[in-house]
Amino acid sequence: MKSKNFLWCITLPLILTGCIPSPKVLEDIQLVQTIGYDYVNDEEFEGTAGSSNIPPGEQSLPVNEVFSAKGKTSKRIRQEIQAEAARPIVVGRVGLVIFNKELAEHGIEKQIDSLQRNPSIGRKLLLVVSKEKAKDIIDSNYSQSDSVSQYLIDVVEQNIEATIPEINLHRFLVHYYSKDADPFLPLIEKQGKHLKVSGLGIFKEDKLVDTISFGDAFIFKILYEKFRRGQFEVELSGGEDVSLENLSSKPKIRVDKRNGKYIATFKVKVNGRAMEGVDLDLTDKKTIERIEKAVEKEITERAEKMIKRFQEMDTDPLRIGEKARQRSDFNRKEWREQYSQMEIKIEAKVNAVQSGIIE
Amino acid sequence: MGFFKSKLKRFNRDNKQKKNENSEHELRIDELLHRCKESTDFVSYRYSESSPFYIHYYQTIVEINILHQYVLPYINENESNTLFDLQQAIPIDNTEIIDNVHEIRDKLLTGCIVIEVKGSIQEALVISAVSLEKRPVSMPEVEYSVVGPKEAFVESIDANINLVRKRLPIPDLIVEEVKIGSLTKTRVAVLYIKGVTDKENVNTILQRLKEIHFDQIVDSSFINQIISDNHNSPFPHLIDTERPDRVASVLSEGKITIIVDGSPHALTGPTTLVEFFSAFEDYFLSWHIASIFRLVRLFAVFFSVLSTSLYVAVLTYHYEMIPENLLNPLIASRSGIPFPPILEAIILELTIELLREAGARLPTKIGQTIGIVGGIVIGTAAVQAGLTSNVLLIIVALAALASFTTPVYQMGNTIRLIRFPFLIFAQLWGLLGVTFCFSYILCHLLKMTSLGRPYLAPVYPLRLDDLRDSLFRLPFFMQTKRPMQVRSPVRTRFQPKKHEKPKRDIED
Repeated sequence: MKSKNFLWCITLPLILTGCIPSPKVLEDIQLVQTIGYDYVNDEEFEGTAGSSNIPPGEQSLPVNEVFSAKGKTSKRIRQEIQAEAARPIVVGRVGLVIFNKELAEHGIEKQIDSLQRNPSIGRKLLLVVSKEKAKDIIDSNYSQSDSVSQYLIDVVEQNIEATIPEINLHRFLVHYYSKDADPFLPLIEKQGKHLKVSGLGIFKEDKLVDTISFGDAFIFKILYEKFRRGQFEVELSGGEDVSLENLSSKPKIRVDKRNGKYIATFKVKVNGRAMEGVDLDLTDKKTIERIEKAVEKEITERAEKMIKRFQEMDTDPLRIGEKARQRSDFNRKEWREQYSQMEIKIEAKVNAVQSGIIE
Repeated sequence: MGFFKSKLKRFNRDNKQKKNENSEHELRIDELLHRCKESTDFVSYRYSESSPFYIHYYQTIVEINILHQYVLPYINENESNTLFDLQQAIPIDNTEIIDNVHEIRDKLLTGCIVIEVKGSIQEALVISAVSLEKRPVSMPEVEYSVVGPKEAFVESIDANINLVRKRLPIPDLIVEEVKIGSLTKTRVAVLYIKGVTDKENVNTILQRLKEIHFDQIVDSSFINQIISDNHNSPFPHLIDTERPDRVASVLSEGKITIIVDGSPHALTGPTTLVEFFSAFEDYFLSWHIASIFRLVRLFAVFFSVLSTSLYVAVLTYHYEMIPENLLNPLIASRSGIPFPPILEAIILELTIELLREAGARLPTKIGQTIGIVGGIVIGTAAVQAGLTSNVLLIIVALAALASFTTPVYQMGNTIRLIRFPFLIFAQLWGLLGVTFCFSYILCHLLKMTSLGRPYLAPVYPLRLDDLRDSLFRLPFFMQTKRPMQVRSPVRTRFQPKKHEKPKRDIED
């Protein structure tokens, strides 16, 4: 019995030799950290892979290395890129995928499909839409970077914390495959020697249909998810500027159905600290109240305007449909018909406190 | 059938041997003395021409002053010619008149003076005058502790039992002695507290000890290996300790101790895996600190075993797992190194093992230079020459450091050893291989027993009560029960007080 067990221990590994993963030693592979897709024509697109070569030594700075090729499928592009590279190209460490705006308008289904099928690609991958050619964004030098790819990822990630709603491959796929929601992606553009997040791109299915500004993206975030540490500026009726810091918000969506008509209500609770009121007496309760009123008005107005635009485009990035689906009497056909005309209310409740170490 | 035949043969042979010994019994004293005289340190003479007494002893193991002060004067004065009268006259206890030659021989060889009367054939007076070389009780060196007793066992079994009995002055502390080793005749003592220790455990140990057929028992570690439950296991089955305080505490828990003559280490059991990671100093510190230290030690074991193999696995197979910020430093330190990660790791691990081995073998004074050679020359130069990466050097050094935290030396050796299969599997199958190897060792540990008691207890089988003093140590007032592991007939150690009164100040 004992020798039999021993025999199994020896033979099993031998039988299973085919199941062994193939070794990929870290320094012998070309790690792709950013991928860019650009529009060429209806059939072809251009893929760009941004990676970096790290010379030996402790203080060495990575050298940017960009490969690009045109083709009909991403596998074809990868083959072409591989032909140029000195080491085998692997995509397991991709952190950011950039879609050119033109390509996004024509649909990104092919690219998304190849990304989601690849088991070595993580679901925390960031996706963005760029105004310029993706290749130009990847293949350039930014002032404050140790590695271009790392810089690009950092910029987007930092913004997702505070200014734009959270989105990654996983969330994108949830929105994309949901029958009652549409995806959105951050919009980036180059500004001089920097990269800038300039708003959100709103999709209908896999096609970009609209973009919203950076300011609206923040309103979007307030309506979309619970977060802390935001910042919001508002102009009071008297013309003074006030900013709310350390803003935290918690949205709640309610969908009612009355007489076969759907009505959605956003209830938003915003807490924040009023700062930088130069000519204002922030210790005064009335001023605080004025600020609260102004912020409430600003959020409501801008949100209503934004949602109106989504309704016109018949796209639902705020996933109101998902919420409506939770109702037992949900009817998808009715919902689709009514969505663009239905009533969507915003109820913002702002709570501001005076802060700052001097009064 | 062949098996039984061979057993039968052995049985017959043993019987024959016994017969030989019995026939030796009929051997006369003068024949025995004749054999002893072949050694030059055997002294045998007649006291004087007129005296009837012959004196025999090995001068190397006899305290000569006893002979001179308490034996010879009385032989001189004594007018009677019988051994019995002499025995009455000599002011030493433990004298015997023995007529068994076999016994006389044993006494002679363990440091007794044999006095024989001319003409008497089979009788001899045996006077104990043992002279033993022993060093004084010194500080514990292997299990040093900053606080607590600073006594350690020495090589003499009597001194060691003295150290234990001093701490447990109760008649229930039983010492049972066995002689093992056909050549060394080593005295092996089994210590336990009657009524607290499970009789079955004692019988198991005594049975295993009596079954030992081996020519030499030089140290307690021989016993540890010979009576272990699984001879193919790299894990030690009994804890060896040099601290009498630890032995006393373990005895009162209901465990058994084996003390071997000539060995400054006592063996205690039955034991569990976690007990190997508890230093006795844990009981001298407050329970919070002791608990944290134990957990740190346990973490150190995992770190020491897994860190290099994880490094190899991740760098060879799973580049996706490396955090973004660590990627650049790792690649920068790796690129330009001519070896694959596995060779790099094996070279460095072997270097550390070489240093450790060299440090252990060299005399202390030269040993210090080893540290310098290892630390400065090999460490720095290897990195500068581009043979190994900085990151791995740090990992290997930390792993070595972590393996030193194990309080029991034998377990430290095991941990040193089991790193290598992990490394090889990491290279073969990556993380899958590490998991495979880990499962293999886990299965082995699950099956293992110490004196027939589960080795992984109290974690498996889960014994919640025993957890109070295993991975962490709860305060003393909660340690009301002996561990279930030892199957003690009296599980309760003491009755906890229901309501503890606040401690009173002197002013109250």
